[in-house]
Amino acid sequence: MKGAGALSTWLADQIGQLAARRLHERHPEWAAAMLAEQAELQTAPGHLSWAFGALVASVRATECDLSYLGALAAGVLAMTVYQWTMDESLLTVAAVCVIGLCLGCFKPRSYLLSGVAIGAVVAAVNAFETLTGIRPTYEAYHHSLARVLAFSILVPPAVFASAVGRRLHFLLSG
Amino acid sequence: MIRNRTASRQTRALLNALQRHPAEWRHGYDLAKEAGLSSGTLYPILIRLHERGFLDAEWRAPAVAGRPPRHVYRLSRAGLSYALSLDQACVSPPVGRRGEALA
Repeated sequence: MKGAGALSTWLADQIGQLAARRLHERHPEWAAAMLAEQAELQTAPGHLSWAFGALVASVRATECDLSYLGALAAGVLAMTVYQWTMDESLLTVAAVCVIGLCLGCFKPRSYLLSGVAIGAVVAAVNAFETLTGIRPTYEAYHHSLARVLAFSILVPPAVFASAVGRRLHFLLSG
Repeated sequence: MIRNRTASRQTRALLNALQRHPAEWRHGYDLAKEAGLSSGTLYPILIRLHERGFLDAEWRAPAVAGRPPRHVYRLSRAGLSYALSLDQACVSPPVGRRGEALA
């Protein structure tokens, strides 16, 4: 049973750390307060449920950043429109990188989500074309599934651009 | 801007727990137990009360060496009057549209 106790303590600790990381950007003092309380309760009954609660608290206290969700939706929409109206070229990579960079700069904490979302747009649009047969007028050929999957290669540059945007945000904000 | 909303049942429970010993600094775990709240509910309320100036918070040295300092809470003066005003709203008789007591 000693092993189970150690495992639950370790798990509670990991969950507490995750909760604190989530909360840290907006409420650093409260993130530290939750961690301190967690450390104090290591041997108390219910320390694991306390840790889960802390994670819920971190979500509740930072929930729904509508401005970011709006920016992400606008970025995905812009990329979708671009992809629908233009054929793939080097400019597509540039568009992915520029939008990824802007989103990374706008919301540094969510740079990974921004990069993946923007980078996956081209593959998603092509998958839509393949599955539904609805295609833009200029498109003369059908994409195969392998070709659709190949377009997910745009995800890494988008994540990279978003990470650069994140770095830029911190540089600009000192 | 912080909205001045009606307090939820959970907020009232927490305010009652804090109000019971207004001069005493309390830990999060004690408060959660006394108010019957989970940590997931407790902390967002504490943060909100603190942002509205109803809660004082400070760090205390740990009772056991090697542990981190602990965050403790108590109602501020404004928080105490807010809690009292909520209590009065609960016990005062219902009021008609023009402000006269109905009972």
